[in-house]
Amino acid sequence: MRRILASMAVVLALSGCAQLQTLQNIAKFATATITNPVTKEMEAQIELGFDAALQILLSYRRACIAGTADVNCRRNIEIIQPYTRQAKPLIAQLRNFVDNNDQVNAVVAYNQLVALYGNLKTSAAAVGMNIGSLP
Amino acid sequence: MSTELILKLIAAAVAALPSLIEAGVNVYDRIQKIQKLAADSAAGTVTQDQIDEVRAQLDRDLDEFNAPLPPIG
Repeated sequence: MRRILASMAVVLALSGCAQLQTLQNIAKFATATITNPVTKEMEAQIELGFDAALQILLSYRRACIAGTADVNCRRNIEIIQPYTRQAKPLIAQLRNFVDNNDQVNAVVAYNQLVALYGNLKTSAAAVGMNIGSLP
Repeated sequence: MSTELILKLIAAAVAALPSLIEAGVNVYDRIQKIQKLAADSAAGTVTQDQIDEVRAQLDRDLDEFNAPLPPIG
């Protein structure tokens, strides 16, 4: 019985990883520079990438509230939340800079967001969650 | 392993399944949107509505995840 449950968990985990691998393959989050400006399309791409990773975290949070996640879930979520909370104002700034074509600040905010994603990924991995990566 | 423990394990696994499936479906949906955005971007047909939808969706999801966890009850 344990083997069946473990197999089920592995299959689900692998299917999630495969999807995130697909995300990694199709999304190109290049480092923005003044000569490679942040377009609305680039901004939407990184927002969708961030949102895809967030789905794993949201699922974990919902399971935690429902009492079906692991016993450490509350602590794990609280470890990850500082990063997702930093993302909110950073994304708002990025949108504003892109809308106003303020490329100097848009490039800075965009690259900060890519770096924040890296920190979020490391933090999530530390508590055993693979949320993919931005190439 | 006792039968009671096995049943508890099955119940826990089954209870977790919907959220795992939901996460998989949602990740797949976002990947589809990234693909469409890339295609529309190459064709120069990305609309402001598309951008607004992406922004609104991320805002909703961030707000949900960032909210403090409700008390255990």
